[in-house]
Amino acid sequence: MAKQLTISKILLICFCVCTVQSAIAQEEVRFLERDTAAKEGANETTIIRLKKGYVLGDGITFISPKGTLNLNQTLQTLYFVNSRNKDLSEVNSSFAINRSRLNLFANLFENKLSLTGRLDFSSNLNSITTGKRSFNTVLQEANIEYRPNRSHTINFGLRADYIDSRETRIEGESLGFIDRSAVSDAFDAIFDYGIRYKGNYKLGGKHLLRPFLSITTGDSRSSLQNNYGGLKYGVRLDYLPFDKFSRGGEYYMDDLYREEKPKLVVGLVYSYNDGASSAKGTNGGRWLYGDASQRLILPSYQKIGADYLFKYNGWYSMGSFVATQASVPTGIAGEFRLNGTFNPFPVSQTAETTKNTVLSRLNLGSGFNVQTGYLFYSNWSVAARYATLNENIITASFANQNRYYTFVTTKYLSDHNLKIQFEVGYDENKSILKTANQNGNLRSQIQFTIQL
Amino acid sequence: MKKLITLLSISLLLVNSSVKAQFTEADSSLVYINGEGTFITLGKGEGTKINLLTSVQPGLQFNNLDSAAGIYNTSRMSLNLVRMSLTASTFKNKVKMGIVTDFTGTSPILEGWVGFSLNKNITLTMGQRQTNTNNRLAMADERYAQVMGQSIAGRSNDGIVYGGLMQNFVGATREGGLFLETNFSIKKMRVYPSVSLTTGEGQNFFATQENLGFKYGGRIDILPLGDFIKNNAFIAHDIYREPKPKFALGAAASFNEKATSPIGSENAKITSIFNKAGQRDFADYRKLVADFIFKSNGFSLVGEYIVTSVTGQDLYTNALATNKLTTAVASNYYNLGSAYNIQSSYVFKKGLALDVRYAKVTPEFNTVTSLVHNQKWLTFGLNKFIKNNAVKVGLNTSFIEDSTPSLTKNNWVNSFALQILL
Repeated sequence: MAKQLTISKILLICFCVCTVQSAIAQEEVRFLERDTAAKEGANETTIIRLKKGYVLGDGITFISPKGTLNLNQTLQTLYFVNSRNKDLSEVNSSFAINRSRLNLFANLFENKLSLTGRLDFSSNLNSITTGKRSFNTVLQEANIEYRPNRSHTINFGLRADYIDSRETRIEGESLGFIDRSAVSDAFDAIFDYGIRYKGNYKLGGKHLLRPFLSITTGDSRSSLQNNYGGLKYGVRLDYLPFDKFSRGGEYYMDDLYREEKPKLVVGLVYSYNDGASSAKGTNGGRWLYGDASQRLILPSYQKIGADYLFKYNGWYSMGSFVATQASVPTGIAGEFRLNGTFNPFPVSQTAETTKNTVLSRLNLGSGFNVQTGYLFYSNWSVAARYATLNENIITASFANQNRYYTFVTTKYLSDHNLKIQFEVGYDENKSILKTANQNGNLRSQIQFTIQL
Repeated sequence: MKKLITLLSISLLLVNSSVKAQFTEADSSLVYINGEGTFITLGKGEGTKINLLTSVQPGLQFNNLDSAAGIYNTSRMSLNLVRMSLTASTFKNKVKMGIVTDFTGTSPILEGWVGFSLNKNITLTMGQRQTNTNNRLAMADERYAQVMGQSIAGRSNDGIVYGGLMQNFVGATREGGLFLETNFSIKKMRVYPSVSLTTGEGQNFFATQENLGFKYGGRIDILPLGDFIKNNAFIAHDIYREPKPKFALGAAASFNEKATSPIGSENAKITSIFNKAGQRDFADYRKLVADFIFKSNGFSLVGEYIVTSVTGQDLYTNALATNKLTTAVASNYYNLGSAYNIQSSYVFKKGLALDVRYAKVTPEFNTVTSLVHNQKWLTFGLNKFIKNNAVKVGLNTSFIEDSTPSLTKNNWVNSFALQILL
């Protein structure tokens, strides 16, 4: 009996100790919750907490019952070295912060409404266009997106366009190369302000059709200061015959998740800018013309393109073709200087000369880019790219080098969130620029990428 | 019975361990510390750690300039600092990154770097950050400067923030490049050697550098009494009030091959130096630095010395290559000379700080056209730290005597500033 009593006492003590420990544990957990949460009171206020299960690249995510807010900082630092001489006698180099972007993404109303913002701190607060037409280049994205259901999305604001080449659908931090190709550089405006529609239709089986429509300013980020000329209308049609890519594979180059079945997207793009005021739409307002009454009058600019992305079992291939043309209206009597004053063309200037002057400030011609790469199981990848540019007879200069050969190797330490890239390339001069000592530009660069 | 007791005891221990594990391995947490910002830990264990720190410093300044043209009074209201900074570590602290932005200038980025630990004690960093080849206080962020005053994108135009030595021989403290750092101990003594390869073209120079040459430099810090608290070895005030005396001795040197600006902290400022072939060229700019810092219980004493020189063969000041660039002539193009800076402060337990700073600048050639003049800088300051440096209120007065063989100017600058670190 005494023994039983002793056992009962011990059990009771143990139970009490366990209960106390459990209570302490609860208290400590609550303490932690207080660390991670902000609270209080009124009807419209809800508790927020930090998202758990973080992996690199997720960013800081605050969660509340009404939505989420995600902040993500990226950084890319770069060392670049090049020489234009055959004997490599003059070597140039640069250290640069390639990108330093703070991304903000918020979801509301069960993911039906979202907000996106992006600042690139490595940009300048002043644009390359000066005078009255300067604009802030730090702000890259600020838009609101509405998704009534899975098939339709409407976007309003500033963001990267759907109607540029496929490369621009891929974030700068998720490229398989250090930079986009020369074709993208020559013809893509990338950012613009406007209204966009994105559809997602199942055609039966695994066939998907994704139409994109956009009405934008055609002036890129300068449109936030002023809109010049008419609007830019664009359409993209993407066809995916083998269903969608795994884990968003459509939006990065290397086949990081090694598609078990072949995946392909083929796209056609067309845009019409009713009033182009810069070479490719990047810095609207650079070139403004006026009629005899000094009313704004601008050329129209059309772009057509086709592209694809294919992935299978660690391999990927990507390509694009782009061609542009412009139409100059009659009646241009002069141009507006950057300080806003009007500079009339000489009365003796012919209409043909005026037309050629206007065309010589637009990127007119075509470009073709193809690239392929393979990801090894060790998360090392290799890739090669060939790009070529063809200038029209009268155009802004964008192809002093017109053939580009690039080789890159990447070590993915944590997907695109932590990687090191090493690239070598050769940009061949167009024929008339070749000299005894200079055929092109030999370049090499190394880049570190981190996304929190 | 014994088995039962043993079993229960083990159970209790396990429960206890489990509780402790829950406490130490919280999945994502957020902590705010006054004066140090918000610390966010994402993921379990040694996941990603982020520190966010925002600072704003509005200021007022009253200036009295007495020169040959008479007395000229000016005043200025400014935002001395508007900054957001983020530092992070991940991959078990093997990878670090830092970003500092300031919105007072035309380009917001001040720092952006990624560092990889090559082993336990060696770190390789690439990007833009405060370079290691300048004096001790040039390696501290302006948020911790002893004297509060206006800075624009990390640069102090009038030199009030950092004084005469840095105004004449440092300029912008940040630069892009590669930085290799290590550290080790010899008994109690700590040693921090580092080397760097940078552009030599100053802050935010991201363009292609045309065959100009780099800046090669290094620094060594020796701490015979062990490490200081946090970054205390590189800031003037003893804001952490070192409980035991701490001392650091430092030396740095740099060789800026073909410097295109007078101090090597800007780009393409010098346009009229040529080589024998009549092509534009530049001299090489050399810098030597020695410094020390002593801190104990709120008291701080910092001393810094810097000397600069140029070198270069067959350089001329005209394209015809007839006017040789002598060292004396070079003093019209480059900041040549020496300076010392000594400053001291005492931070009382309640956060009140009294400061004094004196700097003397001596040109290598005391001529009318030399970029460096004979200067004396004297500053007295009063600061109040509130809530562990989260709030700082400062009042300071500086007297600057600037004299050339033909002219002497006296400048009296009075500043008031309020700073919040959040």
